[in-house]
Amino acid sequence: MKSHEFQLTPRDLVGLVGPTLVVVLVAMGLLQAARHWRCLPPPPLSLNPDLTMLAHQARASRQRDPAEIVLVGDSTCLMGVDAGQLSRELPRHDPALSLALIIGLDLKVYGGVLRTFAATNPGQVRAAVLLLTPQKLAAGNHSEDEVAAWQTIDATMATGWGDLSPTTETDWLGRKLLRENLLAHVLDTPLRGSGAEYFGFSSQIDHYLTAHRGSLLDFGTFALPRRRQHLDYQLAPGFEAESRAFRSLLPAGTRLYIGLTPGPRSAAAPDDRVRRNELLRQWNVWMQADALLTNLPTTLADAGFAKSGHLNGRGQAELTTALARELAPLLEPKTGPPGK
Amino acid sequence: MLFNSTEFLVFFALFLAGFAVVRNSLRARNWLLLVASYGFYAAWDYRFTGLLLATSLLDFTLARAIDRSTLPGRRRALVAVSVTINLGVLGLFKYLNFFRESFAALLQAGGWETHWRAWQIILPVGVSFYTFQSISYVVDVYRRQMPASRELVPFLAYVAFFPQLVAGPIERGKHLLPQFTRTLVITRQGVEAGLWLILWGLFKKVALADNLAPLVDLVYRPATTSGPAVVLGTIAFALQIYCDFSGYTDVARGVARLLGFELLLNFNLPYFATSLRDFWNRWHISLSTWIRDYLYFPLGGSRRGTGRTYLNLAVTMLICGLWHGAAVNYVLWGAWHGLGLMVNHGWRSLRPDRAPLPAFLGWGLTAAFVLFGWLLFRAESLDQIIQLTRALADPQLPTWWRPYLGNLVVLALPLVAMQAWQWRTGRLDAPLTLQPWPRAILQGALVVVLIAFWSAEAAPFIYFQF
Repeated sequence: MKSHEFQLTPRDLVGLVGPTLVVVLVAMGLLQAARHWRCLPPPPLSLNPDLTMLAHQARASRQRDPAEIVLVGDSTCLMGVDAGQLSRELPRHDPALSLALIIGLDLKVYGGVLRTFAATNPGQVRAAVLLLTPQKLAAGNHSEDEVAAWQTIDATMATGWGDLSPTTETDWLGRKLLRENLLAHVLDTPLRGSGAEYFGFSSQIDHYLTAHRGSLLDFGTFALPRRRQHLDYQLAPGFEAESRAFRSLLPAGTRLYIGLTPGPRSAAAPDDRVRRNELLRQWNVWMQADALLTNLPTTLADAGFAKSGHLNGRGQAELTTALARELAPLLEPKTGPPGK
Repeated sequence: MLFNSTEFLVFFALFLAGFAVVRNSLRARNWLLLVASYGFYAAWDYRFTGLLLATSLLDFTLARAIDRSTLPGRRRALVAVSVTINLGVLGLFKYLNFFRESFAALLQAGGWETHWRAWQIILPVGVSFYTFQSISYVVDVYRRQMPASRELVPFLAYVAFFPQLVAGPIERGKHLLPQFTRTLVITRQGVEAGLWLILWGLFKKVALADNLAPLVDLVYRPATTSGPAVVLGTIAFALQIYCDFSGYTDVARGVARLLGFELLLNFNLPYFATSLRDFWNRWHISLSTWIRDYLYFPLGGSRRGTGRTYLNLAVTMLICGLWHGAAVNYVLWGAWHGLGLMVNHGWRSLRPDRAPLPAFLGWGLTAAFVLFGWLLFRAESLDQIIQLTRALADPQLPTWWRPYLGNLVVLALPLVAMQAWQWRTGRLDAPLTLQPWPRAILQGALVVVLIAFWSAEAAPFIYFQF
């Protein structure tokens, strides 16, 4: 007995599949042409949380803004200080903005973003506050991949066109164009892990950053480390070049204040303050800051942390208040044209 | 090997080449189907091919003995052996830990301490599906509704038929088995329908279900306390599970159709149901009819008085819940639907001569009932059920409700549009009624979106865990 018999011809098959194939090929051709002539909308800023945050800060550094105090630094600065609250707690309510980034980037990038902001808002920035985690000084290195990602994003923001997640893969099917330049505009990217409960979507991070003057918040839960480790106050020799590069990028007429962000109290040692301030003084040989923020707390209660290094809402409010208290006497009232 | 993986596309292309070669020999075709199906199954875990073969051989042998025997007692004993062994296999792999843990909890409640640890038992993929398929075959032979298969290879190929082996539809011997012993006819209409089913099924899984999954995960987590979030998350899950499971079924039916086989319809616009009874006539039809024919009717159905009818409904739906998995949330889901069917039955018997509820009201009540059922189904523990149910009372909107709702609407739109069209025309194959070029544009658009979301790491289908 025969297995099966065909009651269709090859011509029938071509008739069934051919028109659909033609449509697909035309669509792909159109996509590639649109890429060539740059007539697709750029990808939205909601591709992933880190890119969203970096893109927000790159964009913010190119916008007109009344900020006179600019916060720069790593993610402990980004999550540790609320720029809006800082303004409110300063005696003259000086407008502040956070352009803090992430730890994987080098100080040259931090300096670059500050310089870009100052160029967009000439003669306006009176004070730059650079806050880092002590771990950054101890490690003294950065991630080349993250710096490259930043450069791509920064260039995209500068030109208004670019690829936020470049790949070496040939996208001849136009999958990436479809996903990132078209579909990402109608489908937001849900977050996973820490922060997902609050933000839900990476685009919400963008909205949060805008609403909170460039500051963010970590909603993770602090977990006491299994092995108790004291805070590390060391200065890596390799940090000198980065530090000097940052100093050279400081806009003229801008005062520089540098400080270190606190660690959890469960990791504290009795001489932390002494060691932290000594580290600041050593670092300042390269940084040449106008003042060291030596009165910031070296530690905060564990309950103020989302996870080691990042503060939660409670910790952020506490550190912001401490920073406002320390900055208040340092910030000179505006007497003449800024920058003079 | 998942339908939504590149491996499957390669596997199926190779299979089609072989299928074309064996066109003149039914015997060779069945051998090809058997080898391909076992190869397909071995791609998951080759160790369980032995289990599949053993249960198939047992049911083949027992069914033949039942068929030959004229002694009612012997026939009954043989069918009991088959059912017991099949359910035993299912119980061993799927429920042993659950019952041990439940028993331990009972002992602890009585004051006896136990220190039993859960055994590491791997669940063979598809075991719930092929076991039920095998049982139905033996019972149908016992009931003299079909003769026992005389040939082993077609029977083994029937049990292991790769398009529906791991997640159904749960086929009946009298429907599918004869197709293995006759010459299949592959028509233009069949191929047309098959290609459409594969495309639409893959679209539902890859473009819709897999993008709904992170929305659901966002809500089904311990910190969720917002009522609107729970409602949105549960609607997202209702769409996800439908797109995921019906997507699998569509691909299975489409693949079978390309080969000339016809598989049972498993979904018929379930979310258009206007009563719970109607829902179960439209949702996972191959399981609901299996439970009706092999459990509800043998228990007496609705023929043994009102009380017994309610009891039968409760028992069958509890077992339906338990079939999905050995966990308290599935039992509660089954109990919830059992309760709903009892109310549905009571309402109908109280008002036999009156018109049913207005369709829109019936639809709304059914949808709300089914949605709460999905909350029970999706939750990972009793604690989470309590937490999410409590959250329903909190009217506060989550901070992310706008993008969430936006994503939900975007993902629901293609499904709602397609189903509204199918419902209005009364044809599940409504797109096939389009002229060639409009249809090509529709299919082309689906292919393009499918390509965009196609992932090298294919997400497994939800029902594979059952």
